[in-house]
Amino acid sequence: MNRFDVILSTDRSLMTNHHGKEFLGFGTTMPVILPRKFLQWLFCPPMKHDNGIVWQAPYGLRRIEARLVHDGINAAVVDPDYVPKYIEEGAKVLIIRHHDWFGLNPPTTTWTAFIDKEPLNAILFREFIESVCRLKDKYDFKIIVTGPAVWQWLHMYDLIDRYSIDVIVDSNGDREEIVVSRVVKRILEGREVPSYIKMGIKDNLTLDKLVPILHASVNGLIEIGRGCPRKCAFCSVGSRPVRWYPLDFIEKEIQVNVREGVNHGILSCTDVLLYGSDTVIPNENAVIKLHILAKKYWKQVGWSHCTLAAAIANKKLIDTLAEILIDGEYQKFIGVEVGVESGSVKLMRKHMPAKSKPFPIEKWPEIVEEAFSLFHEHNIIPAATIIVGLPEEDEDDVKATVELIKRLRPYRSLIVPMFFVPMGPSRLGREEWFRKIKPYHVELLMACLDHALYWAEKLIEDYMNDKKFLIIKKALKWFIGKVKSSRNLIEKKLKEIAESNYG
Amino acid sequence: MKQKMFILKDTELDKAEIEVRKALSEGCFRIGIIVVKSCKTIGEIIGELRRVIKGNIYPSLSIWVVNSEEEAEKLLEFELGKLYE
Repeated sequence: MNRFDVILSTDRSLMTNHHGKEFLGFGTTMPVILPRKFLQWLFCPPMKHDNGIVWQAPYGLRRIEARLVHDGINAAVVDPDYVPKYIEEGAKVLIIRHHDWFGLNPPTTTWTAFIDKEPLNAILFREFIESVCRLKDKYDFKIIVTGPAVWQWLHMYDLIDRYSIDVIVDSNGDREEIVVSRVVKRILEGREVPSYIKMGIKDNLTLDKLVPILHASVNGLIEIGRGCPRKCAFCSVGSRPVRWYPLDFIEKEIQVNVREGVNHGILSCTDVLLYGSDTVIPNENAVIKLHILAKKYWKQVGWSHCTLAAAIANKKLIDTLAEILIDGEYQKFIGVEVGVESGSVKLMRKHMPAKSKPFPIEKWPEIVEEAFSLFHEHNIIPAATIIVGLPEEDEDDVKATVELIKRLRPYRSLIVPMFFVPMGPSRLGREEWFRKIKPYHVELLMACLDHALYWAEKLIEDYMNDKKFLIIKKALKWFIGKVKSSRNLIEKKLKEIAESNYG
Repeated sequence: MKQKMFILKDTELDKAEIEVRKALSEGCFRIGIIVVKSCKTIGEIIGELRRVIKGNIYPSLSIWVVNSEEEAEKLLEFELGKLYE
């Protein structure tokens, strides 16, 4: 077993490739309403490893690992089950990265508003950190926590002491690897370090400081840029300026994945369709080059996110991209997350007026429907989010959203309601958490559920079309069947919850 | 980038927001808050500074918790660029 000065890890909810199906990762945000072993098998099976050195690791950890090694620090990403062994071997620093430490992000917040049980990912993190901090009595090492959701520690601050956290790096993904590397160096040299470090917008990462990953990332997910031009008030990424990574950098990271046996990948940023663009209009040439490059190496290429307005801004581009990626043999569709957020023009104008650009915000519901229709025609399957409980939301806003969701029924998609969470740092970062639904929210939640039940089985068929997924497919279909048969009961329960919230 | 470090006792953390705003008005976008610990834990100090951290998205902030005023004085000259560049 090698000895490392620095080890990087996270709990099982993230140190997994979700059977090669990234979307299954959302299942880890679910409260434990079914046997835990079954949920872990289904959503976060263990990662293949060699003596604890993992095959694939979350991209954020890979970026920090690459930076540390580049700076001459002996570091590696290890499986959570092997963290104690590497600490026994003499690791001096443990870096933990997560994006939902305590189950406070929108998906987990939404689940737990109705089901009074701890989410799976929060349980897995709690068990992991408890096992790790017990080692502090015996071994001399420091714990750094980092990643886009460290704001959650600000709301659970007593746990900073309980889990003996030494440094919190609040980077929102920007300049994170550089700052972590500087902090690690200072720790290894025995110098003082701050307890909390936050990167402001003025300290954005410049592209010349980028170091490509050294080993495979989970499901080949690689970042193609940072920031967002739309600047929505609820979003922390949107506060950062847009920077696109050059194609040769992206190619290096794809090659690393392919070399280590990951033959499919996900292009990740806030809007894949805006790759290479300085505005909200796609740069056709750059996006096509990017996709030709990705498809040259990968059998299947997914998108992390794109915006609906960008798709409508250049419909011919969608046509071309579908043609490049969907070969009918290895790839039959493109999966992507999109933000619908609301059907209310009033709320959109208030909190995300640029979401519809280059079109006027008054056209938002039409843009959404047109984009869904365009995606449907091209086998692009959006998983859309709706934000429930945005500040200043009223009954008319919710009704407008319900209307929009109903209009989207003919288009193959998922529409997921997410309770508003004041994620930081964002312009709504100091607002109140939304936790209690009102009676008029029931119709909205049921519209989302009905849409999901309408499409779920078909989507599972398309998503899991390989024979090796037969058992997982059966398990998911069984779960959908259970939800379907409980549909009316769920509605009744939601009404009771809403009435008890507001008497 | 211009920086500013200032010292607070853990009993006067409510002054942090004003000090950060003063620093910003002086064009400082790297700000260090040095907190002299007496009766609060590190977690309590960070928790109490939550609104300052979440509400100020432009500057880079760092919070340094020390046990004495002497330690705090020594840190005043720390060059924050060493952490960010």
